[in-house]
Amino acid sequence: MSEQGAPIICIKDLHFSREKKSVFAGLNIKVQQHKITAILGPSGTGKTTLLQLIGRQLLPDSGQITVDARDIADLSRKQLFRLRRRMGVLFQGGALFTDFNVYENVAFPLREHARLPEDMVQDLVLMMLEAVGLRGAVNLRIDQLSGGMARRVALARSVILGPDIMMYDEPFTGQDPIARGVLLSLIKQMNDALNLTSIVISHDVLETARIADYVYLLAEGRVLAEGTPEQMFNDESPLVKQFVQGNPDGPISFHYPVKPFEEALYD
Amino acid sequence: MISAIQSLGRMGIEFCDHVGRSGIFLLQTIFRQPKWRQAWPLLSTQLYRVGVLSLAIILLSALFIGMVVALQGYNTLQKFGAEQELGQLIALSVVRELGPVVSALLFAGRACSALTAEIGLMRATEQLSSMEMMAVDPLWRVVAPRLWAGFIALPILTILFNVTAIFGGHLVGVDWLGVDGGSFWTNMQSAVSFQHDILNGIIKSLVFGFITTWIAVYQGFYSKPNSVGISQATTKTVVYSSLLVLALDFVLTAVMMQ
Repeated sequence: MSEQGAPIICIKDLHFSREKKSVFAGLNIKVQQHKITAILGPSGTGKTTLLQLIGRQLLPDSGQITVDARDIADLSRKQLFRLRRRMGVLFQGGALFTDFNVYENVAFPLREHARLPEDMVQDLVLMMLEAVGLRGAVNLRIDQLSGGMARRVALARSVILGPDIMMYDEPFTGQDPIARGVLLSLIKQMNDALNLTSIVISHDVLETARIADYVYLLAEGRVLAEGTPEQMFNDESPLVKQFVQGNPDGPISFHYPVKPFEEALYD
Repeated sequence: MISAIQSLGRMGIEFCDHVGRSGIFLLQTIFRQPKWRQAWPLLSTQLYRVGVLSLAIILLSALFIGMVVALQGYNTLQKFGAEQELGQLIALSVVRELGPVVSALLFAGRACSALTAEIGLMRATEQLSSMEMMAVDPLWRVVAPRLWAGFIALPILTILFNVTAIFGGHLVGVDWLGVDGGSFWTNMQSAVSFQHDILNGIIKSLVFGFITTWIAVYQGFYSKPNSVGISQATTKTVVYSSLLVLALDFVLTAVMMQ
């Protein structure tokens, strides 16, 4: 593993289960500061759950998640909210407030946390929208935005307070190639320009590998492989190969666990 | 037999779980420290949505209910030659019972169902999660203004219901059926007590407003984040609110009659 920079987020021996089904069983992850860390894995491996655990929207059954060497489980409500102000999250669907227009959505964190005069709020919002290429859409309603535009607005909203850590939940899902390319370059540019630490949750291996500094591959509740994107592409283990190359046959079964069809027919 | 006892026990535990959780939810909502700078704009928006937008259905229903009570009352009172007591009959029926109860039932159907659906949809589209991750407490930002708005709006709607229903009764009784206007108002004035009738009715509507809005925001906040979950939560809001309004009306009336 690349040891440049100190790990800002450490996940140690994390166990988490939901409705008696184990999601994570001994997960260990380190996220290096100012790097883009990709967390890849097949659908249903709990990648979004991991983001919720890092933001303490969920609590683990056991194990430890530390941010800046502080266990987030020990934080008081006030300390937790202070920590969350340092985090930005781009949700899978954007999670924009449908009551508000584009401008009000992006201005929302400023109005909640910073006592700024309205003209300064306006300048900052327009600056952020310019950065994501949507200054012209400032007065649009949320239902007038395409999926890609909604995510760019959500991205502008999540970075407007200048977070230290950005978490992206499946940013490329359902995007056309142009929107995907725009989002990729935005994530990379934002990370470099704002000196962020980024975590990108995705199952889109090729796209994510283009911008990631380090990659974790999750399956069956634990880390199956980790390394730089090059190491991941050159990995010879059948599971990593299957996931990276997108093969239907391999250690990861296409079928949900069930007894063989022949046996079921004779039952 | 064992499974029946088990399911009964499970239902009991689930009921206690819901009661406990909704109680904690209510306390957490009420005792959050408000940000005064933002509190009034948030509250006034919700007052408009749950109060002003419910006005048309409340006033229209009140008008027709007042007219029907006047018609029915007139037919019965006429048999005893007591049609001059029509004003008293309408005022007491409306102010004591019909006003608070019908307003609350209409409020549950119009405003509370909308509150549940709105908050449920915010849950399903991750708007509440994103608020939490932006270090904004959804209990304070989303739930509290709606809860307070319901609590404030229903008593005002009830007063307007009472006034409109009496006006409807006057239209039918005095203007159409020919009851003497002087007797209509004088009998009403002498029979209706401000403290025992009007104030008790408003106290009922305060309780109903609080209960129905509490149910609505709780059901919305804890609804399952999918279309079936939201529809179930909305149905539960209307059913539970309506049943509780009727049950509490009996309890409050029994207490107030003593």
